[in-house]
Amino acid sequence: MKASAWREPSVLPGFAPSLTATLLWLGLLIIAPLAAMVATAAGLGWGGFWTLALRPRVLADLSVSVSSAIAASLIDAVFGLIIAWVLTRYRFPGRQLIDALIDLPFALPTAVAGIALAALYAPQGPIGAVLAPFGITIAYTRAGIVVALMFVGLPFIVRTLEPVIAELEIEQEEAAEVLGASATTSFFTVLLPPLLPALLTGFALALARALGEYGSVIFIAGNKPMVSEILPLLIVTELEQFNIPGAVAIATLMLAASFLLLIGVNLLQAWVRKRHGA
Amino acid sequence: MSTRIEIAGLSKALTGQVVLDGIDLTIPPGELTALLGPSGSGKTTLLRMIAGLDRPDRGTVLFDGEDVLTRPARERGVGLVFQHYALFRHMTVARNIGFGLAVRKAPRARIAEKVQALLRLVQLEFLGGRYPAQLSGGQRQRVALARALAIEPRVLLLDEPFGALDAVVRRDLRRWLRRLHREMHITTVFVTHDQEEAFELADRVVVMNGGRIRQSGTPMQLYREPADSFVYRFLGETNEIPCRIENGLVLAEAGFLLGRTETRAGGGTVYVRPHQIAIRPDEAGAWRITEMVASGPASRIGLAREGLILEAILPAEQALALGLGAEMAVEVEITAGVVIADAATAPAPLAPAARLARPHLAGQEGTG
Repeated sequence: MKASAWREPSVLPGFAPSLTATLLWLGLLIIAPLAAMVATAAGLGWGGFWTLALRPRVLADLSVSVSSAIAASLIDAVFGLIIAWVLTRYRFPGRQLIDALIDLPFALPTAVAGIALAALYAPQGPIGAVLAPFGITIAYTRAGIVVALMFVGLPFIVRTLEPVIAELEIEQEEAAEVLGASATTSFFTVLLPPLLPALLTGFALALARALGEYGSVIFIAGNKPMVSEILPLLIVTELEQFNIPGAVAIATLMLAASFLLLIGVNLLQAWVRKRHGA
Repeated sequence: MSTRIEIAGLSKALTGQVVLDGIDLTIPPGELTALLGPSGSGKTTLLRMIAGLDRPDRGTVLFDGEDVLTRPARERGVGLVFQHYALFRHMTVARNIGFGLAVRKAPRARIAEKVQALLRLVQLEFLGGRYPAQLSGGQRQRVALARALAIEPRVLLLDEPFGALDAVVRRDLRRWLRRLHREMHITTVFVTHDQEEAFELADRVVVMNGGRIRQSGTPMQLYREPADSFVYRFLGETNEIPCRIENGLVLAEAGFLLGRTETRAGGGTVYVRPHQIAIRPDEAGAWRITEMVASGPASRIGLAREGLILEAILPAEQALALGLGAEMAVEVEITAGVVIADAATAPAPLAPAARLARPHLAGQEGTG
């Protein structure tokens, strides 16, 4: 049987060379380094791997990493939706400037962001000092981690939503209103469903970014083991102490956890797309 | 059960541009009214103000004597059908139709029952489970109509309802809507730029231009007694002939006689529809046929005389029987039409040159 059974006939030739290039590129850039890591981990044997990977400090840090990333991405999803809505639907002075600001977290070295956030939210800092009397501390706690992750994740949500919001027909909202729907009902039944697939895509990107984020977090997190230490930092700590097997075991665990989480989000996305007939 | 709509002094300006300029209009209960006009005439804005989607600067809109301008669109109880359907793409046909009842928290069983009845009404009984993307344009428009009717609106509004459909579907839907209106007798207003559509569907046609109502009346009234040159031009194909009037005789610029009128003297314009021109083969005739195009049941004939060019339409059989052809010399008589003197805006009937007035034209005196 020929290859045509699993590819669509196309006007453009070059399926074979382009697939080869794709596999080669993915192999060199993504699969090779990850495979090397997993191979090293395999050298530890099952017993050795689990002993290193399931240490209480590792599990505590994994839970800090994953829960902070999810929390930050969820908050980003809400506010990213509002920002994208305002930037797409309204024309106001300064819109272009705000639009350009959205991309800054992409460009800024994350360490700079981390230091700036730490300075702001520290108990003596301008924002931290306001919150301190209420017993709220952001810097050097898990809340600080979430703030830093929100900062790096926001552009993903805004940028994936903007084109989809721009394509929404205003007539659909008008139709809902004439039919008697309140603004709240219109939002949840008419506006949100078509945005859900894009919102989930943005959420997945922000989540992926937040899971791997290191530079901005370590300056604001306080890095107290078991409490406000993220897993990527623990990997670096292990490396600095020349505990290579420990670092590799943690990295492999993290790889597996991230991969599962992202597959989960992708499945959710496919389900939403199917259900809401995108 | 049907609602009377009374509109008075409705005006709106956007960034200095006048959109609506003092609209006064009463729509009797149960009547099917067409708002007819070119794009930018304000017809859609007027419809949106009745629906509550646009707000006027001044004026009133009453439903059965009750001021509705203070009420938001969701409380007016109007059904609105959009040109591009505006169906909710992520909902099935049945959920689209039931939306208005669902937001009113109607019991599920009642919604299901009503949706089934409406699906039958719009002849889409077996498509309730489909998504809008799986329907044809005509089917989508019928779903949009069913969705608008589900809330049992006091007033049904349609914005260019057939604008996005092809000719055959459009004709079928038009007849179907006409029948539906006759059964339900709901006060209906629809917007269109197609005079044929307005004339075929509406009990009453309101011609708009530049944010004003130019004329309103039954299709027959408008066609026979247009109020001004805009209405005349908008309601069908027209020959416009610059003329001068001397002692009731209407003369072309070259000096030959076109017809007679009541007006005594001055410059003006004669408006004649292509089918109001009679042609008779005559070797000594002053007119010449410049071209002849047979387009289905009608023949279009170009006529020329001393720099004046007219277009006439004759039934194809008649053109054949007369043996007309290009380059032929013919005699031409303008059988009907109107004259608008430069000094006036109201048209006066044009009588054929041979007789002073025909009986059916005599009644038009002093109208418009």
